[in-house]
Amino acid sequence: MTSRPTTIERVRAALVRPVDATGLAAFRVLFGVVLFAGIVRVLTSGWIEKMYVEPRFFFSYWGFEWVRPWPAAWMYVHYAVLAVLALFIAAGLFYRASAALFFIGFTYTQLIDVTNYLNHHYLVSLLALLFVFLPLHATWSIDAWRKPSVRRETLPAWVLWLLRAQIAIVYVNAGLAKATSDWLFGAQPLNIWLTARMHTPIIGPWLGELWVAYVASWGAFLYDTTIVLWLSWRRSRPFAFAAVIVFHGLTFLWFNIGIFPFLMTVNATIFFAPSWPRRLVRGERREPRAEGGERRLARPVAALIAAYLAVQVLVPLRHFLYAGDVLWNEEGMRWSWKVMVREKHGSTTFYVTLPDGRQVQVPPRRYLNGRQEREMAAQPDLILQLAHRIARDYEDAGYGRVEVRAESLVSLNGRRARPMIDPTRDLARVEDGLAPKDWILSGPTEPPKQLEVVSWR
Amino acid sequence: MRSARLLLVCGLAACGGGGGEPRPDAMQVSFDRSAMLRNLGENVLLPAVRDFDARADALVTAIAAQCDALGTPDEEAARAAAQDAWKQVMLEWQRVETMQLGPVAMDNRLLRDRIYSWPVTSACAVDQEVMARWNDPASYDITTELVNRRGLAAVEYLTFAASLDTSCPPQSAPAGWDALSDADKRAARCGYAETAAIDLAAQAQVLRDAWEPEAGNYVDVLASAGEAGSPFESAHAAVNVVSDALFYVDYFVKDMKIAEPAGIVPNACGLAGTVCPAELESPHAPHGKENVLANLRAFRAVFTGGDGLGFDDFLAAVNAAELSTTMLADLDAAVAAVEAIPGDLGTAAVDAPEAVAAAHAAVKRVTDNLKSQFLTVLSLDIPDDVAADND
Repeated sequence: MTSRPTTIERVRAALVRPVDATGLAAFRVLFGVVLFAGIVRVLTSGWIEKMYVEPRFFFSYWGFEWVRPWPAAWMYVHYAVLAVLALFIAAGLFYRASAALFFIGFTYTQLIDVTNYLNHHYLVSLLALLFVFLPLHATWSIDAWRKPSVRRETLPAWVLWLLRAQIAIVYVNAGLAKATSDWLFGAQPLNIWLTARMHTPIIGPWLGELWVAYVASWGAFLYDTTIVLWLSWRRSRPFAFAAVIVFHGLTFLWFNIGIFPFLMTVNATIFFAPSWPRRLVRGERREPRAEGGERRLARPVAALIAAYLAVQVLVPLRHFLYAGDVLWNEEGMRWSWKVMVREKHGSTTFYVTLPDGRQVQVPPRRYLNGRQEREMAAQPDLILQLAHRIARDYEDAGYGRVEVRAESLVSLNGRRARPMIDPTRDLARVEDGLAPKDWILSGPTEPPKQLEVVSWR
Repeated sequence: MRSARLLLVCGLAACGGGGGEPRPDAMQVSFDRSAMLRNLGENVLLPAVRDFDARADALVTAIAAQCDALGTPDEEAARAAAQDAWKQVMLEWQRVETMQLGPVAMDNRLLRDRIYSWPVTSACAVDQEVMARWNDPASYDITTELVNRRGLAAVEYLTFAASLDTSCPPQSAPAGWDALSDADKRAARCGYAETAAIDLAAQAQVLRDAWEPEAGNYVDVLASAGEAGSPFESAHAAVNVVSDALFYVDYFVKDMKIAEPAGIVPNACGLAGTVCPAELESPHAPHGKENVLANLRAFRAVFTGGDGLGFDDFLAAVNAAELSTTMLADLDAAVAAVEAIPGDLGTAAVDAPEAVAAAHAAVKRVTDNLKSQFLTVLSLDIPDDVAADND
């Protein structure tokens, strides 16, 4: 008589259950193609100049202050190599090496300057990192064609579930980020954004109406928080994928968010049945035969996966450790999938007090281009970084220890601009860290401004 | 249907417990961005370009008269008339300068730089051209010269500079200059000023042609933004280009024209905030304060749209009339503060620094709102940022 398996044993068995590798292969191909298009877009748009050549100052991530851009021509070469690597990933050629090099090369471009941070670029880095360790080249790849040892019809289910978990974390957190009074009860910032897009064919005239902004806000909230569920349920999947296409199609139409809509549409396929490409391309309904694979997930691998997922779950929630509105103080904003949830602009001026008491104002434009200034004006830690740089420049020029204060007026979601940084604090003496930043002033408490226009052409 | 929509809005707003009370009358508000663009084009930008073109022609006449009067009893009067003509054209140009969009901004602001290259100017380079033309006036072609040897800044130097000495250091002084008599030096400078003024008038004509309805008709390009064949994706994108132009008051007026020469910010003279005459705009005239006033008034014209639709109406339409009121009040205060600066900017930076600082602070109040709530409420981007991705 055999005893019934425990829950843990059932989970373990489920994690190594063989699943058709073609769904994962299709995901790899589509991901690589989207990345290729995105990289080519950067190469041809002039952004390399804007992001890596023009700036005289780069905002650093902790521990990565040493990262600097190549000379201009080599940045183009760098991106060209990334484009080739993206194609290699898609084709499954030298797959692991390509994924590893792409991860390093792409992440490098992001580490050069914090103002380049985009949520979907972060997602690209994470997925590329996972690709390095996941055998997504097991089928439908040149590697599998060249090397029989690579070739497999099935992969353990944990590979699929790890990717699903990653995408689910993105969607759910993007949804939770919208659970704010501004978004749900003020219809902001969608109200602002939609009224600016009334030139959209057919639906444009409706976009200026407040009720549309409310419907869109709640719709986006519900979409993000539940789409994984609907994509995972076989019966709702076709409708859910249609919703994915419509939702991301509209975001592509309305917002400058680069490859994000395409990336998330590709990512939605990871929730399909693993055999969907086999059925789509070959019309086959049979599942591939299970091959002799893993019987159980090795403990170190399981531990690594658990640690990775724990980080992914907890990091986006870290803003709860800080008082105040994360959209205002930005403490816990990055790497948290708070995608397109605020309209925020500011004006920042630095005031340098020399040891002899003289005061000089320093406009950020002396160091930053327009794109960098916009990003910095909304993010306190970047204001602090530039304050430190200004202090250093004065000290290097022989003025001794100077004091640097910032006047930062910021408007969030259309509200009247208000100070974001304590203008009395000498930022040159403030160190950045994980502790709550007491030099950031409280955010607005009044409701956001609403724009109510019915015939705004 | 409308009541159903209102009901939905009210229901959602009520859920929020004060998350934004819908205004029943707000549903009647309307605004036409294309109409605003047409008004700005027809009644603000085109008139500014026309006025500038007319004044540029008048400058040619005045400098020609000055050159004719050299060595006569009318010389000083003719010189004063030429200086006055330069001031008039400069005032008109400063209106256009504040509205840098369309033809004047194309090709990396090539036309703008040919007309007015400040802060890229060089009195020494102009002196070298004076000598080059003097040596061979028949074959001299100013249109092939660099922008720092042409345009309003060159004419200013030639028309206002009191000394006949070259502005060049000895190693780069134009050969033969010192050997010329004073009369020849005056004639050489006046001749080059006339050449530069003629070139300036030609560039002004190019600019005007680009805007005139019967020629380039950029007014219509602006007004039909978003329609088939338009270079603008939408009327909103064109509005963003106009708002980009307003940022001239932030970077150029507030920082470069007021703060840098006054030492309010670091400048070419150092990091410590010392007064720096080298940073002054129109130092020979001197005309920096008047330029700033013209910029602020041009900003106001674009903001209000004159008697027609402007950004103030746009803000009112989107339930942000109080921001419009604040910005206009700040703008008026800024104009008053600049007017209150005694004498010219260069002198005041030394003798009345508090007045210059007050003017700078007043302009900053305008640009603080421009860079923050103005952009968020109207969903506009700052210059250089339109094409970047977000998320």
